[in-house]
Amino acid sequence: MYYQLCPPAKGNIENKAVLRINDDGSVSSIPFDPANTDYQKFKIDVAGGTPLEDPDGNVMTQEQVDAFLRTIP
Amino acid sequence: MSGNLKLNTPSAGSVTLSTADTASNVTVTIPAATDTATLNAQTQTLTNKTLVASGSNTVEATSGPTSTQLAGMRNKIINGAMLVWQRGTSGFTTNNNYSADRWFLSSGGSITIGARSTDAPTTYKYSLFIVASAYPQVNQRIESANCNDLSGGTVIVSFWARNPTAGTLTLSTQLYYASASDNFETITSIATVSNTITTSWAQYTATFTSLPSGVTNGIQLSIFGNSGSTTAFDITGVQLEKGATATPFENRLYGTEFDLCRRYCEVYSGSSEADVIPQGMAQTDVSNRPETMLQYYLKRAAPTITVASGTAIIYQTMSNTGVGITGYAGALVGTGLRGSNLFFNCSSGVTQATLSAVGYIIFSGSNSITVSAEL
Repeated sequence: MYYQLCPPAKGNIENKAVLRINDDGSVSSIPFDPANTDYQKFKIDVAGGTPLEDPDGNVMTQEQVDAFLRTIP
Repeated sequence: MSGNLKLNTPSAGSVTLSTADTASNVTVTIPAATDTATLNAQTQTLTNKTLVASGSNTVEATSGPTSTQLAGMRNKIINGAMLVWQRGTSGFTTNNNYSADRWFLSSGGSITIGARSTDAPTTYKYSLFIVASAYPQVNQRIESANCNDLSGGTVIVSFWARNPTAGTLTLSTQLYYASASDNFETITSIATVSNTITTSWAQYTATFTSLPSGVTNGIQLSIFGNSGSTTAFDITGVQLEKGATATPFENRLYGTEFDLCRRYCEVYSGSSEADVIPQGMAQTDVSNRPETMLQYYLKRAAPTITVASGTAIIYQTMSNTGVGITGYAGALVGTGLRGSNLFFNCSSGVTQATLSAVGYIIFSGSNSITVSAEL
């Protein structure tokens, strides 16, 4: 399981969700809502080292991840 | 002076307690905490009065007019009778994944079976069956909005359970509270109560008193087989209610139970082109990235939307041409409590910014889209 940032939709520059690529092949879109428990877990996971990719599929460094976490609720 | 004071009346008569001043309250005092006031089997009438508990006492009803169904919405557990199974009815072998609606399974090892069972006590249709290599556990989290009235109080958990294998099993019931409102990433144990279950169906209870103020963040109920080796149990009829007395299981209408579940999860599934995703309509934002708007029942929080297999979805264009999906791109624009957008990827066939390019999406094979705001 790993995470990937969504590409921005046309006309939108903000990321609104992150993808979770699940071990069974399914894909989950997790909104940046602090009340969403998957979002709560996402922040803990990537802060702890679970891979996070940018929209192009490049694995982000922990420094990039930490910087990104500071930009989301 | 001690003894009994008995006021008798002939059949169909009455016993009246009154004061000369009808504007004042009349108080009937039961002196000792261990005493009880009993209404007998005949019809009792309390006219123009309210039955009030003083101090820390409570007024409890343990049976209704028919002794089978009391006033509703006492049970804070949703789907306690294991009636609703939107995610399927078997194959739930992953730790911490949901099975029956609102119930997630876990263990101290690996789960070998997690499934719906038709082996259930009389008056129940289904049970939840779990087998694990160690400490099989069924869990439900109660959101904070439904726990505000529990701080400092007493709750009782009741359930029906059996051990399908020979012998007895210690089945433990544990309550936790969340570290922050509706955030169960860190939980604190309140107490654990154990029962010994047998191979026959029976009802068990567990009482929890003086609940800490943290319960207003939300409660997790966990019921687990207290064994480090392969263990199994069936369970149904789970109820968590205020007070120290277990009342009969609250049988809610299926539609009511289903609607309660939908606050947390909805599953759209299909296996043929006849299965159109409900309320979907589509457009594109960039070439070969069609977008569908999906509306759903009001959720507890903005939900996670999971597509089991993007390749089992087809976009039907306005020219009646089916365009295969190659993957799920996510909810790029935003996800709300009542609806979201879903973006998919296609290899070709959907032109950019052509609002009429896509009509709707359909399942082309076994697939599902899950909208989840579970705790």
